[in-house]
Amino acid sequence: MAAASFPIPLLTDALTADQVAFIRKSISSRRKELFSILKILGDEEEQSQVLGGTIAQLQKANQDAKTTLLSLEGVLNPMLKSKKDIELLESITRAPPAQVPRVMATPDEILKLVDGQIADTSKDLSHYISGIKERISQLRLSIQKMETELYSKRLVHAASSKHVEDAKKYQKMIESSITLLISGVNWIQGMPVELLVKIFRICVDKEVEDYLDKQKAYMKPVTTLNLSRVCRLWRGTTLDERDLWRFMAIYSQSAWSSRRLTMFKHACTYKPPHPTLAFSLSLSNQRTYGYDGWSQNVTFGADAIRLVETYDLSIFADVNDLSTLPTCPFTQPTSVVLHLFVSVSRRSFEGLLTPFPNIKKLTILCKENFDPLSPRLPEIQPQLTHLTLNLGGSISIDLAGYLVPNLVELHIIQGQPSIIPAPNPGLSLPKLKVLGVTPPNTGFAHSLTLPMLRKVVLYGIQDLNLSAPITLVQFASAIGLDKVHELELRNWPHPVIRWLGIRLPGNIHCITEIAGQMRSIVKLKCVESAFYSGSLVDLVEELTLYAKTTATLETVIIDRCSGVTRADCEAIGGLVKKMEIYA
Amino acid sequence: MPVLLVTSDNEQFRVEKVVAQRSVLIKNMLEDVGESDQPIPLPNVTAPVLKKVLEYCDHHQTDPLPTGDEPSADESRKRTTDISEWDQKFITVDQEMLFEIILAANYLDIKPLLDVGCKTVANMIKGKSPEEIRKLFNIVNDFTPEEEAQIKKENEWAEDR
Repeated sequence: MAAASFPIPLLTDALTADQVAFIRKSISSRRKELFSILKILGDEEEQSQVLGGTIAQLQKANQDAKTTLLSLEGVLNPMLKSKKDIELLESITRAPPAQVPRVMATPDEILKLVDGQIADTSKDLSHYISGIKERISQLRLSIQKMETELYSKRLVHAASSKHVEDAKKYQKMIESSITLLISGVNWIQGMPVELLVKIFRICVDKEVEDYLDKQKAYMKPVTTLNLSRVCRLWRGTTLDERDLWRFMAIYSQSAWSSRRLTMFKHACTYKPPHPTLAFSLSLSNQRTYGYDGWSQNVTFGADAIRLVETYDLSIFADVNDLSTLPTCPFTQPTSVVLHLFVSVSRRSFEGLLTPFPNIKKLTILCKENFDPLSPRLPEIQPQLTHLTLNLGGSISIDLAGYLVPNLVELHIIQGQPSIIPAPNPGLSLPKLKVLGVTPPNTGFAHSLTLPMLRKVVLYGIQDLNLSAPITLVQFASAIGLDKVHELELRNWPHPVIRWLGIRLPGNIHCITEIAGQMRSIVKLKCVESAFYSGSLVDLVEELTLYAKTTATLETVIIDRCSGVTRADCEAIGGLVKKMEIYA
Repeated sequence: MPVLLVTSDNEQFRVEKVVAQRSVLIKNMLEDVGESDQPIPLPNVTAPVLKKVLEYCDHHQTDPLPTGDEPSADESRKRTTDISEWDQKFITVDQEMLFEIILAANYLDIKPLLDVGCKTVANMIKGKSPEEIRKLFNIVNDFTPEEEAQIKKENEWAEDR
């Protein structure tokens, strides 16, 4: 115990690996010692227990013997008294005979008779007494022996108890010294980086879990920041793992909590590889906190987010405050998500994007009445490679202003069918590999030249419209599906999926028509779509039948789709080489 | 049929195959070697640590083996820091032993035990400030003054609620 009271030295320098190894060795040998002590202790305690039992038995036997002795002595004493009386009587009967008349038996004869009887009784009594005495003598001997044994056993037991006590003291001493050795060392330092990262991920996931479960709207996600501020090793490790930073956020107004929640849910579910920084440009936000406070918060957040080289920036913007953004110190995001709630002028829109010269990926989420006039993206963001336009209402945009020649991926997602005017024919996107469209508004594709197109994503919309399959067939023939390797159906609701199997006027079968052109298709992916029983099998059959002239559909991926039965899966499994299902 | 395991400090442990096979490393070794009386050397594990690891394997010998598939988002969320009562009691050890168990679980490829160990450390970290974390694990603050200044700035932002 004395060892535990030593003051633990404050470490100013980290221990070297050799020092840690030495301490580890010391701990190991101390643990072995402890192991032996515990073994000895176990044996001693067992022995002590046995000895205790023996002593108790001996004590009981001794007590029994003493009781027997007492009772024998109790019997012996009256016997000795009787014998004395008899001896006295015997002396009387042996006195000289007196003269008595000869009518009956003579007194001498009577005396002789009595004397004989007394002698017999005396003899018997002597015999009993001698037996009892012998028994008493034996008992006394036995008691003496037992007491000697008891004494020696008690001595051994005392020694054993002392031994156990000493061993326990020693055990405590060793345990204290192990604790002392352990407490001075940074054991987590010995963890391989991948295990450290695993621990950090659990911490960050727990933070999200708490947020989603308890709706801590006031909570600021600081776990990763805290981890990065512990030491250089931890800082380096956290900075190398960018997904740990995915919950960075700047926020300050309570009304914004639902937006924050959406962002956190997204971050929790999809775990994007980049950290996400979200903030609101709204005037009310500034009014609540004052421009200085808000700006300071943004600045600090921007500094914090600089810990990582790239991040996603999520901006919630109202039109009246777009001028604020250029003053914000966000210059390095590679990905920007713009949540626009109102229409913005071309100038405002361009101004909004000016502070981001390095973005590769731009997502514009437009609510209701968004109507940005052609933002001239090819001029202001020529480096863009990924563009997603998610148009909420019946919005029509001038597409030419968005078509950056550098684009590798272009997605135009519409909530409501509305016609996007086709840009001038002959517009080429020479690097575009992935094109996402929402039928029926696919006509704009006719004007595009897409030599590198390899993947087509068809986004589903809610309303059934006969024009959709027709435009889809036209789209398929216009963009040249013959080089496309992959077809993805995303967010197709139940009734609309029937479009693909519909028979069009002129006896054209929609999916047959499309499949007939997809001569290079190898992969079909269905994401978050609703099928009716058998419909996906029909689709796969069409694609394998009509596309197999030059290629074979090899892989079908079903990701979070409903209505696909086990029988469907078995049937599809028989048609393709590989099938992946994600629930 | 029992399996003989030999630790780095030359202690021998005879354990039931079903218990030993909770370790994917040992399971694969047994499959490679086939039926054999040969002892299996475990050069990265000491006797006291293996004793603890085997205690865990023995208790969990009837649990279904992990499939290697990633759990769903919901499942993994629910399980972030949940540890069963027995496991909690089992893992209540000093820090050196805790990290030795984690390292052994990683080496022996016993995923559930590795998870229990990592979750325990995560629970120790949870809600603590950097200074508290340093104190908890005896970590030396080795930042340069420049880094300290940057950290101070971040700190102001993080604490501005």
